[in-house]
Amino acid sequence: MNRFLTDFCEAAYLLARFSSPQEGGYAWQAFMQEALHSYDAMALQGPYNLQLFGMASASGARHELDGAAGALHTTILTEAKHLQQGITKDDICVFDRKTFDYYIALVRRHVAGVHYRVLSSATPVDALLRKYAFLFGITLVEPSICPLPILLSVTEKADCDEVFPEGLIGQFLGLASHASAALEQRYVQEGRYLRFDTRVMGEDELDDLEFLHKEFSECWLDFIDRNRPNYYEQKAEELFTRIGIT
Amino acid sequence: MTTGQQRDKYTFMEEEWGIDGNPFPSEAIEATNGPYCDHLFPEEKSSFISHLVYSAVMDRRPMGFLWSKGPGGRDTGFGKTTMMRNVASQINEDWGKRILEGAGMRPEKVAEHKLIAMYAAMNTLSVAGIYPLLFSAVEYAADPRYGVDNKCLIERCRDLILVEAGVDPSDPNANDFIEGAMLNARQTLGPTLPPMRSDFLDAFVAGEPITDVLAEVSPASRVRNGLAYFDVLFTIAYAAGIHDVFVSIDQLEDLATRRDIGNAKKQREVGRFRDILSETLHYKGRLHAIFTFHIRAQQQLGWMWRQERLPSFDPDDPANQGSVVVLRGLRTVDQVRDLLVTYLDTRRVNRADVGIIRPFEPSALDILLQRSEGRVGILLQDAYRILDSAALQGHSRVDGGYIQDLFGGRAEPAAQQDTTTTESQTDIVDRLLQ
Repeated sequence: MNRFLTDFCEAAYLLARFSSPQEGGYAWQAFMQEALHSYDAMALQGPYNLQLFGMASASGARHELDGAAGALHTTILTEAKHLQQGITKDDICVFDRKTFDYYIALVRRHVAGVHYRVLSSATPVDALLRKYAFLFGITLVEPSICPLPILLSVTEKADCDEVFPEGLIGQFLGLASHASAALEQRYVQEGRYLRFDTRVMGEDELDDLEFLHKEFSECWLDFIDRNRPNYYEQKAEELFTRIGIT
Repeated sequence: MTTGQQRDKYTFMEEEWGIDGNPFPSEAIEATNGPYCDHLFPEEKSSFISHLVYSAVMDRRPMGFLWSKGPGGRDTGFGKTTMMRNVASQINEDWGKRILEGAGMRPEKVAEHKLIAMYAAMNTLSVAGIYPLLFSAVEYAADPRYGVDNKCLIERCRDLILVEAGVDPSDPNANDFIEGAMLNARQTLGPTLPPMRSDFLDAFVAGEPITDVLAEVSPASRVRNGLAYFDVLFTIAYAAGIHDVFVSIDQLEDLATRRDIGNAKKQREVGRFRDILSETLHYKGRLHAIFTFHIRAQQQLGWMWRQERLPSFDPDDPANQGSVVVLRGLRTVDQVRDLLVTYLDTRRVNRADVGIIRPFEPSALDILLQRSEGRVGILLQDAYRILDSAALQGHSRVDGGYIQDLFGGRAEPAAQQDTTTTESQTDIVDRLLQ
């Protein structure tokens, strides 16, 4: 799993689970920015920008993203929502389309590297929206469930059968990798065209991943609780100190 | 006596002992279709049928327990699995008729009861809860290897639905009749029950192999939807007039001892046993689970069991006599003889040799019994190693002295607690968090 993406998702998860940003979500966005900064991002872009690192979208529409960060060949496009009612279908569809608009521009300009999309919510997300995110390769971060990239990085290690049901690891790896894929892996460039594999993430697979995500998150958090109590609480404290949350 | 040192060991086995290979299992684990000696444990088998089958039907009891307690309370190995598989197979042969008659049920009552039985086991790979376990029970029912005349249990239930209604299976309307019978059975089981899984139902109605449907089910879906698949099977049985469904649940210790499952999840699974077996209205009194138990599972799950107010499985409580059966393992040399013969006969080259214990000498039997402490699995494993060594060394007669020399008086080492667990677990956690 991409280390930069995993680290970023962990920071976003700690924020979502342990911080209490002010109403309105602006503080939450600022925290996300700081979190991106603290993980050695080489290029950073905060809120209120209507371009992606100075590049206009393919359509020319002026889309605002809450943040974007690049490290080596990896870029994360992110949006942070701190709304009482949680992320809505509109939120995720808008994020999907505006990041796709930027992606077309990146493809036209032959920009190298991989671009991941992370949508972070301070409140739990509806299961149907999770499935939408799985299908189109948007990583969701929310307080009630461990983000897929973190779980993927654990399942890629040799001892992962100490944590997860062995018979389900293979299927989880396959499905979660698709759901956490970069834009370049989900919408594969073939000459002048982009190919989207419609066979990946069928209805049953989305249901399976929805189940596996919850199951694996439960296993991992339970494992951590048993073996390293307060592990994420301590990491959150360290992060909050680093980015100035009191 | 040492002969034939130049011979290949299998040639030696055939020429000296009249067997075409080593008949004993190399591991103390029950194979799917291992040989079975019906009269090895007559009292225990009779108790199993009488308490865990007959009484369960009559008392509409949801749970029974099969214990294995050898000397020192240790698991006897082999006995539980073999007995459960064998009884399930006997029940399915004639819908439980012979079993119930043998247990003492009056013939007119026997005619009112039809039974089926499935065997399923927890394991450390994928079956770690009741939902995937129930899926395994469906796999058992769909597998022709566990059927009669290569016809699986589900297919036989389909035939039974048609036969009972006097419909010829070749009738072009047979499929419509089956569909109607299923919907009718469902309605009778519960008018508000959710719809049945269409993939399973459609294949059953069309008379297509259910194994094809099950092979398409992903690992996660087996866990998510195991109960839904089982529910279709249960409805099939009900439509066929079978109102008592047995599921033998083996290897409960694999749920108890898995490190990747925390106590909260184990508790949830134990709670599901209660929800499904005792509180789901259409299963209540019709679905009977037989759990295998031994000390390890008792230690790990006992408190959860009590917390969920599930029936007591305590084998030492006289009040549980009717729902608990205890296998005590081998106690006499005659049992050892019967066991060895059962396996040796599977590889006999000449029918004239059937029923004899060659190459074992009578003096070997008591030594084997002592070494194994009556545990069938250990004894069979020893027998495998003894024959293998004797054939390699060219020893044509296996007596007590040979066995003692071979093992050097070493008893089977008891499983010991791993004292390095704590340290290695710390290392594992560190690696996973990197």
